[in-house]
Amino acid sequence: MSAFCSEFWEKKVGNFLNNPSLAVKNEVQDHIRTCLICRQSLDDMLGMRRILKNLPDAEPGEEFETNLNRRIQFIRRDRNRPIIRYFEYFNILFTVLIGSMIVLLFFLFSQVVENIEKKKQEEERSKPKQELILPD
Amino acid sequence: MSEMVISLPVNNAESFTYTRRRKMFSDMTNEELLLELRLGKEDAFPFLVKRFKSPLFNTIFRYLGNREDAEDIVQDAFVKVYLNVDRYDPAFRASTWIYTIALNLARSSYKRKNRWLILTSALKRDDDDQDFMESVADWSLSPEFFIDNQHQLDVIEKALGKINPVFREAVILRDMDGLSYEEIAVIMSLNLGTVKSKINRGRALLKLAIQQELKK
Repeated sequence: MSAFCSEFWEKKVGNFLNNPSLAVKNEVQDHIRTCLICRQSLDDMLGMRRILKNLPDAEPGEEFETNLNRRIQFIRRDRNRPIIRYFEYFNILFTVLIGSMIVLLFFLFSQVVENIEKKKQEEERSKPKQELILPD
Repeated sequence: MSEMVISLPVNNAESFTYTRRRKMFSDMTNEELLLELRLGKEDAFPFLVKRFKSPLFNTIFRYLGNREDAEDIVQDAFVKVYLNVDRYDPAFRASTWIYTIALNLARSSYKRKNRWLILTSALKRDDDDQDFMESVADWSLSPEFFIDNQHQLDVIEKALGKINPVFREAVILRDMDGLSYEEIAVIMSLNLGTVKSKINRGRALLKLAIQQELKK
C-alpha cells in the first residue's frame, strides 16, 4: 500500500464513514476510482456496516416482563408499607446478633476447655509423689 | 383544563417547566413518560418498558455476548430507572439517560467477570498501534461472508467479543443502534472527537476480528 493510500485511509475514510462533507465525498470518490485496494477495503467497510445495521434483533425471554413486574411490585409494596423496611433492618440486626452469639459461644467453649485443662494440671500437681523404692 | 404547567427541580438548583397535557400514555414521548412517572403516574412505566425493552436488550446482549447476563442487566436498569426517576434531567433525551444507566451496569458486570482478561489486555498495546489504521486497508473480507446470513451472525458475534469493550460499545451504539454521535458522547462520557475516533478504530478492529474468524 502506498504512503498516499495509508494517509487516505487514516484521515479520509473515517470522515467519509461518519458524516462526510461534499468535499470529503468527492475526494474519496476520486481516489477509489483509481485505487483498487482502497476501493475494495472501503466496500468491505461499508458492507460490514450494512450487515451490522441489519443484524436480526435479539429479544429478551418471554418471562422478562413478568419478572420485572414482580420486582417492581415488591418495590411498590415496600414503599407503601414502611414497616417492611424495619423488618429489613431487623434482619440485619438478627444476623449481627446470631453472629455475635456464635463468637460468644466459641469464646465460652474455649474458656471451659481451658479451665478443664487447668484443673487437670492442678490435680496432677497436687497428687503426692510416690517415692521410688528400689529393691535391696 | 387540558393543560397544566408544572415546575420540576433538576439537580437541586435549576428547575424545569413541564407542560402537562391530557393525553394517552401511548401518545406520549419517552421524555413525557419519564416525567409522568416522576409525578407519580406509575402506569407510565410499562409503556417505557415496552418501548425500550428490545433495543436495550439487543445492545447489552451484543456488548456482553451472554443472554442471561443481558436480561439481568436490562432488568436492573429498568429497576434503576423506576427508583431514580427523580434524577432524570429533561435536558437530555430519555433514551440517552436509560442507555447510560444500562451501559454503566453492563460495564461493571463485564469488568467483574473479566478481571483477568482486562488485566492481560491492558498489557498488550495492539489497539493503540499508530500503524494500525494504515494497515487495515490491506485486509479484505471474503465474498462468502457477505452472502451467508447465519454465518455472518456467528462470525460477528464472535468477532465483537474479541475487540476491546470500549471500541465494541462505540460500534454497537453507532452502527447497530444508530444513535447520534452526541448521544454516544453523553452515554460514554467522552467528547465528540474521541467518540468519532473510537468508532473508526472500533470498525477497523471489528473488520480485523472478522477477518481472523473467517480464517479459522
